[in-house]
Amino acid sequence: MTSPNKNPNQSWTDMVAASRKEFPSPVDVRYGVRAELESMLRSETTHVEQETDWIQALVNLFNPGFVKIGVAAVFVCMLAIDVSTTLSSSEPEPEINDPLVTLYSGEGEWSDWL
Amino acid sequence: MESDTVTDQQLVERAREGDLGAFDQLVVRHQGMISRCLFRFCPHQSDLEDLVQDSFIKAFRKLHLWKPTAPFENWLRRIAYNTGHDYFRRSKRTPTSQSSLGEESNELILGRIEDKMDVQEDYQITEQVQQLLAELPADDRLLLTMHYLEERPLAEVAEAAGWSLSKTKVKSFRAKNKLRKLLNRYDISE
Repeated sequence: MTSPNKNPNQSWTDMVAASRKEFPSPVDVRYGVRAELESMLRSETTHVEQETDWIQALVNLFNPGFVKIGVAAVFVCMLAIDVSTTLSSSEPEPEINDPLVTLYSGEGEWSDWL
Repeated sequence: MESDTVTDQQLVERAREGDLGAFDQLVVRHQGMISRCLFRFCPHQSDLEDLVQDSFIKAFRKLHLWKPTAPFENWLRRIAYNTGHDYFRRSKRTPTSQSSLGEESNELILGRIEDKMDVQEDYQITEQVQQLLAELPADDRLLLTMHYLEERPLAEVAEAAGWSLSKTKVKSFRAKNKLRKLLNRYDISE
Protein backbone atom coordinates (compact mmCIF):
# COMPACT_ATOMS: atom_id res chain seq x y z
CA MET A 1 0.00 0.00 0.00
CA THR A 2 1.72 3.20 -1.16
CA SER A 3 0.99 6.48 0.55
CA PRO A 4 -0.59 9.23 -1.58
CA ASN A 5 1.66 11.64 0.29
CA LYS A 6 4.78 11.98 -1.86
CA ASN A 7 6.61 13.95 0.81
CA PRO A 8 6.83 11.93 4.05
CA ASN A 9 7.71 15.00 6.11
CA GLN A 10 4.54 16.77 5.09
CA SER A 11 1.68 16.73 7.62
CA TRP A 12 -2.04 16.76 6.78
CA THR A 13 -2.24 20.42 7.82
CA ASP A 14 0.66 21.25 5.45
CA MET A 15 -1.04 19.34 2.63
CA VAL A 16 -4.31 21.19 3.15
CA ALA A 17 -2.55 24.56 3.34
CA ALA A 18 -0.58 23.81 0.16
CA SER A 19 -3.72 22.62 -1.61
CA ARG A 20 -5.49 25.88 -0.79
CA LYS A 21 -2.78 27.74 -2.68
CA GLU A 22 -3.41 25.73 -5.85
CA PHE A 23 -5.83 27.13 -8.42
CA PRO A 24 -7.18 25.65 -11.65
CA SER A 25 -6.34 26.87 -15.13
CA PRO A 26 -9.11 29.07 -16.54
CA VAL A 27 -11.94 27.09 -18.12
CA ASP A 28 -14.36 28.19 -20.81
CA VAL A 29 -17.45 26.02 -20.96
CA ARG A 30 -19.63 28.64 -22.68
CA TYR A 31 -19.78 26.83 -26.05
CA GLY A 32 -20.19 23.39 -24.49
CA VAL A 33 -23.07 24.59 -22.31
CA ARG A 34 -24.71 26.39 -25.24
CA ALA A 35 -24.51 23.31 -27.49
CA GLU A 36 -25.88 21.07 -24.74
CA LEU A 37 -28.77 23.44 -23.98
CA GLU A 38 -29.68 23.84 -27.65
CA SER A 39 -29.82 20.07 -28.15
CA MET A 40 -31.80 19.70 -24.89
CA LEU A 41 -34.35 22.33 -25.93
CA ARG A 42 -34.64 20.78 -29.42
CA SER A 43 -35.41 17.34 -27.99
CA GLU A 44 -37.93 18.88 -25.55
CA THR A 45 -39.69 20.62 -28.47
CA THR A 46 -39.96 17.30 -30.33
CA HIS A 47 -41.37 15.71 -27.18
CA VAL A 48 -43.99 18.47 -26.83
CA GLU A 49 -44.96 18.02 -30.51
CA GLN A 50 -45.46 14.29 -29.93
CA GLU A 51 -47.63 15.03 -26.89
CA THR A 52 -49.71 17.45 -28.97
CA ASP A 53 -50.28 14.65 -31.52
CA TRP A 54 -51.69 12.42 -28.78
CA ILE A 55 -54.02 15.14 -27.55
CA GLN A 56 -55.15 15.76 -31.15
CA ALA A 57 -55.91 12.06 -31.55
CA LEU A 58 -58.05 12.14 -28.39
CA VAL A 59 -59.93 15.22 -29.62
CA ASN A 60 -60.54 13.50 -32.99
CA LEU A 61 -62.02 10.53 -31.15
CA PHE A 62 -64.77 12.78 -29.80
CA ASN A 63 -65.61 14.57 -33.05
CA PRO A 64 -69.30 14.28 -34.19
CA GLY A 65 -68.60 11.53 -36.76
CA PHE A 66 -66.93 9.23 -34.22
CA VAL A 67 -69.56 10.01 -31.59
CA LYS A 68 -72.42 9.06 -34.00
CA ILE A 69 -70.73 5.75 -34.83
CA GLY A 70 -70.13 5.12 -31.11
CA VAL A 71 -73.79 5.84 -30.20
CA ALA A 72 -74.99 3.56 -33.00
CA ALA A 73 -72.68 0.76 -31.85
CA VAL A 74 -73.90 1.08 -28.23
CA PHE A 75 -77.56 1.03 -29.44
CA VAL A 76 -76.97 -2.14 -31.47
CA CYS A 77 -75.26 -3.81 -28.50
CA MET A 78 -78.14 -2.90 -26.15
CA LEU A 79 -80.66 -4.23 -28.66
CA ALA A 80 -78.73 -7.47 -28.97
CA ILE A 81 -78.59 -7.90 -25.18
CA ASP A 82 -82.31 -7.18 -24.87
CA VAL A 83 -83.27 -9.71 -27.57
CA SER A 84 -81.11 -12.44 -26.03
CA THR A 85 -82.63 -11.80 -22.54
CA THR A 86 -86.18 -11.94 -23.92
CA LEU A 87 -85.46 -15.23 -25.66
CA SER A 88 -84.07 -16.84 -22.54
CA SER A 89 -87.10 -15.76 -20.40
CA SER A 90 -89.57 -17.17 -22.92
CA GLU A 91 -88.06 -20.66 -22.72
CA PRO A 92 -90.56 -23.24 -21.28
CA GLU A 93 -89.96 -24.16 -17.67
CA PRO A 94 -88.99 -27.78 -17.12
CA GLU A 95 -91.61 -30.04 -15.55
CA ILE A 96 -90.91 -30.72 -11.90
CA ASN A 97 -92.27 -33.82 -10.21
CA ASP A 98 -90.91 -33.12 -6.80
CA PRO A 99 -93.93 -32.88 -4.41
CA LEU A 100 -92.11 -30.56 -2.07
CA VAL A 101 -91.43 -28.11 -4.88
CA THR A 102 -95.03 -28.41 -6.01
CA LEU A 103 -96.16 -27.64 -2.44
CA TYR A 104 -94.01 -24.53 -2.14
CA SER A 105 -94.89 -23.28 -5.60
CA GLY A 106 -98.53 -23.05 -4.49
CA GLU A 107 -100.15 -26.09 -6.05
CA GLY A 108 -100.73 -28.05 -2.83
CA GLU A 109 -101.63 -27.65 0.81
CA TRP A 110 -98.83 -27.73 3.37
CA SER A 111 -101.09 -29.71 5.70
CA ASP A 112 -101.12 -32.61 3.19
CA TRP A 113 -97.65 -33.40 4.44
CA LEU A 114 -98.43 -33.47 8.10
CA MET B 1 -20.37 47.65 -21.38
CA GLU B 2 -23.97 46.48 -21.34
CA SER B 3 -23.16 43.02 -19.95
CA ASP B 4 -21.49 44.56 -16.88
CA THR B 5 -24.46 46.73 -15.97
CA VAL B 6 -27.05 43.98 -16.32
CA THR B 7 -27.69 42.22 -13.00
CA ASP B 8 -27.80 38.46 -12.50
CA GLN B 9 -31.51 38.73 -11.77
CA GLN B 10 -32.20 40.43 -15.11
CA LEU B 11 -30.16 37.80 -16.95
CA VAL B 12 -31.95 34.99 -15.12
CA GLU B 13 -35.34 36.45 -16.03
CA ARG B 14 -34.32 36.65 -19.70
CA ALA B 15 -32.90 33.11 -19.59
CA ARG B 16 -36.16 31.83 -18.07
CA GLU B 17 -37.97 33.21 -21.10
CA GLY B 18 -35.65 31.13 -23.32
CA ASP B 19 -32.93 33.68 -24.09
CA LEU B 20 -29.83 31.45 -24.30
CA GLY B 21 -27.64 34.51 -24.93
CA ALA B 22 -28.52 35.77 -21.44
CA PHE B 23 -27.57 32.40 -19.97
CA ASP B 24 -24.26 32.58 -21.90
CA GLN B 25 -23.52 35.80 -20.03
CA LEU B 26 -24.24 34.11 -16.70
CA VAL B 27 -21.87 31.29 -17.66
CA VAL B 28 -19.09 33.72 -18.58
CA ARG B 29 -19.64 35.67 -15.36
CA HIS B 30 -19.59 32.70 -12.97
CA GLN B 31 -17.57 29.90 -14.61
CA GLY B 32 -14.35 30.98 -12.85
CA MET B 33 -15.98 30.80 -9.42
CA ILE B 34 -17.57 27.41 -10.18
CA SER B 35 -14.31 25.94 -11.50
CA ARG B 36 -12.47 27.11 -8.35
CA CYS B 37 -15.12 25.41 -6.17
CA LEU B 38 -15.01 22.15 -8.11
CA PHE B 39 -11.23 22.10 -8.48
CA ARG B 40 -10.99 20.89 -4.84
CA PHE B 41 -13.25 17.97 -5.82
CA CYS B 42 -11.47 17.11 -9.05
CA PRO B 43 -8.09 18.58 -10.07
CA HIS B 44 -8.11 16.83 -13.49
CA GLN B 45 -8.67 19.58 -16.05
CA SER B 46 -10.86 17.60 -18.49
CA ASP B 47 -13.09 16.16 -15.73
CA LEU B 48 -13.22 19.57 -14.09
CA GLU B 49 -14.53 21.15 -17.29
CA ASP B 50 -17.21 18.44 -17.51
CA LEU B 51 -18.26 19.11 -13.91
CA VAL B 52 -18.44 22.87 -14.48
CA GLN B 53 -20.54 22.28 -17.60
CA ASP B 54 -22.84 19.84 -15.75
CA SER B 55 -23.34 22.43 -12.99
CA PHE B 56 -24.52 25.05 -15.49
CA ILE B 57 -26.84 22.59 -17.25
CA LYS B 58 -28.37 21.67 -13.86
CA ALA B 59 -28.68 25.37 -13.04
CA PHE B 60 -30.51 26.05 -16.31
CA ARG B 61 -32.95 23.20 -15.64
CA LYS B 62 -33.67 24.49 -12.13
CA LEU B 63 -33.62 28.17 -13.00
CA HIS B 64 -37.32 28.50 -12.12
CA LEU B 65 -36.47 27.50 -8.51
CA TRP B 66 -34.08 30.39 -7.87
CA LYS B 67 -35.56 33.19 -5.79
CA PRO B 68 -33.95 36.66 -5.89
CA THR B 69 -34.00 36.79 -2.06
CA ALA B 70 -30.60 35.00 -2.10
CA PRO B 71 -27.67 35.95 -4.38
CA PHE B 72 -27.57 33.95 -7.61
CA GLU B 73 -23.90 33.18 -6.99
CA ASN B 74 -24.66 31.35 -3.71
CA TRP B 75 -27.41 29.33 -5.35
CA LEU B 76 -25.07 28.41 -8.21
CA ARG B 77 -22.31 27.43 -5.78
CA ARG B 78 -24.70 25.07 -4.01
CA ILE B 79 -25.48 23.38 -7.33
CA ALA B 80 -21.74 23.07 -8.00
CA TYR B 81 -21.14 21.36 -4.63
CA ASN B 82 -24.02 19.05 -5.35
CA THR B 83 -22.41 18.16 -8.69
CA GLY B 84 -19.14 17.51 -6.84
CA HIS B 85 -20.98 15.21 -4.42
CA ASP B 86 -22.46 13.26 -7.36
CA TYR B 87 -18.95 13.00 -8.84
CA PHE B 88 -17.66 11.46 -5.58
CA ARG B 89 -20.56 8.99 -5.54
CA ARG B 90 -19.89 8.01 -9.16
CA SER B 91 -16.16 7.62 -8.67
CA LYS B 92 -16.82 5.46 -5.59
CA ARG B 93 -19.07 3.15 -7.61
CA THR B 94 -16.54 2.79 -10.44
CA PRO B 95 -13.13 2.57 -8.79
CA THR B 96 -10.17 2.34 -11.18
CA SER B 97 -8.45 -0.76 -9.91
CA GLN B 98 -5.57 -2.44 -11.67
CA SER B 99 -7.68 -5.55 -12.28
CA SER B 100 -10.49 -3.63 -13.96
CA LEU B 101 -8.05 -1.82 -16.22
CA GLY B 102 -7.38 -5.05 -18.08
CA GLU B 103 -11.03 -5.25 -19.15
CA GLU B 104 -11.18 -1.72 -20.52
CA SER B 105 -10.78 -0.86 -24.15
CA ASN B 106 -7.54 0.72 -25.33
CA GLU B 107 -9.27 4.04 -25.99
CA LEU B 108 -10.48 4.25 -22.42
CA ILE B 109 -7.04 3.49 -21.03
CA LEU B 110 -5.46 6.07 -23.34
CA GLY B 111 -8.08 8.56 -22.18
CA ARG B 112 -7.18 7.95 -18.56
CA ILE B 113 -3.47 8.40 -19.26
CA GLU B 114 -4.21 11.70 -21.00
CA ASP B 115 -6.32 12.74 -18.01
CA LYS B 116 -3.43 12.03 -15.68
CA MET B 117 -1.18 14.14 -17.92
CA ASP B 118 -3.65 16.99 -17.46
CA VAL B 119 -2.69 17.19 -13.81
CA GLN B 120 -0.06 19.85 -13.87
CA GLU B 121 2.82 20.05 -11.51
CA ASP B 122 1.00 22.82 -9.62
CA TYR B 123 -1.96 20.61 -8.74
CA GLN B 124 0.01 17.77 -7.16
CA ILE B 125 -1.00 18.47 -3.59
CA THR B 126 -4.73 18.71 -4.33
CA GLU B 127 -4.41 15.47 -6.29
CA GLN B 128 -2.65 13.80 -3.34
CA VAL B 129 -5.29 15.05 -0.91
CA GLN B 130 -8.09 13.71 -3.11
CA GLN B 131 -6.27 10.37 -3.56
CA LEU B 132 -6.24 10.08 0.20
CA LEU B 133 -9.88 11.13 0.65
CA ALA B 134 -10.96 8.77 -2.16
CA GLU B 135 -10.68 5.93 0.36
CA LEU B 136 -13.54 7.41 2.37
CA PRO B 137 -17.29 7.23 1.58
CA ALA B 138 -18.66 9.97 -0.72
CA ASP B 139 -20.48 11.79 2.12
CA ASP B 140 -17.32 12.01 4.26
CA ARG B 141 -15.34 13.11 1.22
CA LEU B 142 -17.82 15.90 0.53
CA LEU B 143 -17.72 17.03 4.15
CA LEU B 144 -13.93 17.07 4.41
CA THR B 145 -13.45 18.67 0.99
CA MET B 146 -15.91 21.46 1.70
CA HIS B 147 -14.96 22.00 5.33
CA TYR B 148 -11.17 21.59 5.17
CA LEU B 149 -10.20 22.49 1.63
CA GLU B 150 -12.91 24.99 0.76
CA GLU B 151 -13.17 26.31 4.33
CA ARG B 152 -16.97 26.38 4.14
CA PRO B 153 -19.03 26.49 7.35
CA LEU B 154 -20.92 23.34 8.34
CA ALA B 155 -24.23 25.13 7.74
CA GLU B 156 -23.33 25.49 4.07
CA VAL B 157 -22.23 21.84 3.86
CA ALA B 158 -25.60 20.89 5.37
CA GLU B 159 -27.44 23.01 2.83
CA ALA B 160 -25.45 21.63 -0.12
CA ALA B 161 -25.91 18.01 0.95
CA GLY B 162 -29.54 18.41 2.04
CA TRP B 163 -28.83 17.31 5.63
CA SER B 164 -29.92 18.93 8.90
CA LEU B 165 -27.25 20.88 10.77
CA SER B 166 -27.21 18.41 13.68
CA LYS B 167 -26.80 15.47 11.30
CA THR B 168 -23.96 17.32 9.55
CA LYS B 169 -22.20 17.90 12.88
CA VAL B 170 -22.41 14.19 13.75
CA LYS B 171 -21.23 13.21 10.27
CA SER B 172 -18.38 15.71 10.50
CA PHE B 173 -17.21 14.23 13.82
CA ARG B 174 -17.26 10.72 12.34
CA ALA B 175 -15.56 11.80 9.12
CA LYS B 176 -12.73 13.43 11.09
CA ASN B 177 -12.24 10.19 13.05
CA LYS B 178 -12.08 8.19 9.83
CA LEU B 179 -9.59 10.67 8.40
CA ARG B 180 -7.45 10.36 11.54
CA LYS B 181 -7.33 6.57 11.12
CA LEU B 182 -6.44 6.98 7.45
CA LEU B 183 -3.61 9.37 8.25
CA ASN B 184 -2.29 6.93 10.85
CA ARG B 185 -2.36 4.13 8.33
CA TYR B 186 -0.20 6.14 5.91
CA ASP B 187 2.02 7.57 8.69
CA ILE B 188 0.96 11.11 7.92
CA SER B 189 0.98 13.39 10.94
CA GLU B 190 -1.98 15.64 11.63
